[in-house]
Amino acid sequence: MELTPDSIVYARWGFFELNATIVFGWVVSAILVVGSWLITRNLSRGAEIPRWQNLLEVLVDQIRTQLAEITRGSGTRYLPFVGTLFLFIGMSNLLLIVPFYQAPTASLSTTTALALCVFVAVPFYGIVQRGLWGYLKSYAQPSIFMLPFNIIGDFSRTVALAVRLFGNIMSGTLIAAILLALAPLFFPVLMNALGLLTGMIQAYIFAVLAAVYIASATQAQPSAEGPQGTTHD
Amino acid sequence: MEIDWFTTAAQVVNFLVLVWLLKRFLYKPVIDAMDAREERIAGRLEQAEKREEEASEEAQHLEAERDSFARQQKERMDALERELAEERKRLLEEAREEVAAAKQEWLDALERDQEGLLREFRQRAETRLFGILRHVLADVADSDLEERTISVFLERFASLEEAERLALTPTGHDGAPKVHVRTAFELDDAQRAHLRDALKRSLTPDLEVDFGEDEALIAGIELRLDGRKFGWSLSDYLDGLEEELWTEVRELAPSGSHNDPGAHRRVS
Repeated sequence: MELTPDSIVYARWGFFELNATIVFGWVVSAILVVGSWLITRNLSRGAEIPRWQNLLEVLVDQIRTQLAEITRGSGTRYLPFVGTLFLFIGMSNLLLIVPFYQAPTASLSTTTALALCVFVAVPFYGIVQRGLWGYLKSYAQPSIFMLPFNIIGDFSRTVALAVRLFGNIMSGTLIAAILLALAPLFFPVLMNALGLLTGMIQAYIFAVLAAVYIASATQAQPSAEGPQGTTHD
Repeated sequence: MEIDWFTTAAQVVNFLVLVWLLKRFLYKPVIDAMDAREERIAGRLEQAEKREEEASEEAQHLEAERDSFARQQKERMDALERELAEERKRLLEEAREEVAAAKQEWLDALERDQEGLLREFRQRAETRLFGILRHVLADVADSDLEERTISVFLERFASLEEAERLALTPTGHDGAPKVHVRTAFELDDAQRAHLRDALKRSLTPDLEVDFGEDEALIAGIELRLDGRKFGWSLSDYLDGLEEELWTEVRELAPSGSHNDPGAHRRVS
């Protein structure tokens, strides 16, 4: 019984090794990219649209709306990053129902990689939005004494992001595996269904937290135009 | 449960590539399509608004035109009514004039008829009276009517005032003094001599008398000199009778007739 997909290695070339985490990460990415390409290659700009396009539009628009609410500005700037976090994690967790599938998000390496991306993206967006000095100054807010706590806070929340996602998905997978061994017929199905729910919730939480961190770093001011405003384009 | 840093690095790369690919194949096309649709809808709404505005303007324009048309129509109707009233007035005036002219014509015709009637009446009366008189005079007198007429004429001439006789005396400044005597009947030589002598005695001895006939005198005799005349005939009585008849007719007839066909013959 494997706790993490990292341990399932398909090929190795010295330092490079092709494990299940990477392979299934590619699979999930491929599904997302190919699916998107298939749907968006013949996009309709008219009044009547295909249902797949409608689904994508609803999804993208919902993510953008949520981002706009959180960042109190236009959500379009952070949409590719935060949206991809949600879609990748969501798709990874959704595919748990597929037999022999190993969720990349059940690997601490993947969740760490995603958390690191957020860890880098937060100051990146902050500096882009407020300038280097303006961003660094935020660590000394409300007073200089808060500087170490703010720095610790940044690191700890990144770790929390990685561990929370990994723990939830790994535990779900593990419990399903254990129950499959104990009661092979009924419980695994329930646990899988529960796993799907928690997986989607975790994807949502991860993406929302990333957005919240970015918003706090960019210190978006509430705009009079509300969540759909275009203060920070 | 440890972190495989190679896998982590690979997943970071994977994730960043996925971000780029999804941006390229998902977010950008979808957002572009949505924006294009929104733009199109906004455009259509704007177009609809513009059309609505245009329609509203057109409606206002049409309403203004309709009002203007109604006003023009009213003005035309008023003008037409005025014209009709004027035309009616003119036609009534014309009709009145025509009626007046017709009335005048009728009155003239009536007058002419009256004149004709009286003329005829007078002619008949003259004829009858003359006939009766001749008959009566022929029956009652041993002398004939012509003789009697000459006698009456000469008696009346003799009884003229001096001034009247002087007015009838020819001056003779352009030759011999001359008078014209007209009778209704033919005079024989004896009657002519009798008349010439009587006139020479009354007027002037070297008087020349020119005799002629005029049937209009009706059993009468008349002396003419330079537009003046003296005579006696049944015409005088008939003229009086005619004047009385005209007076009667004028009283009966409508106004407008002022002709006096019965010119009374008297010495002037």
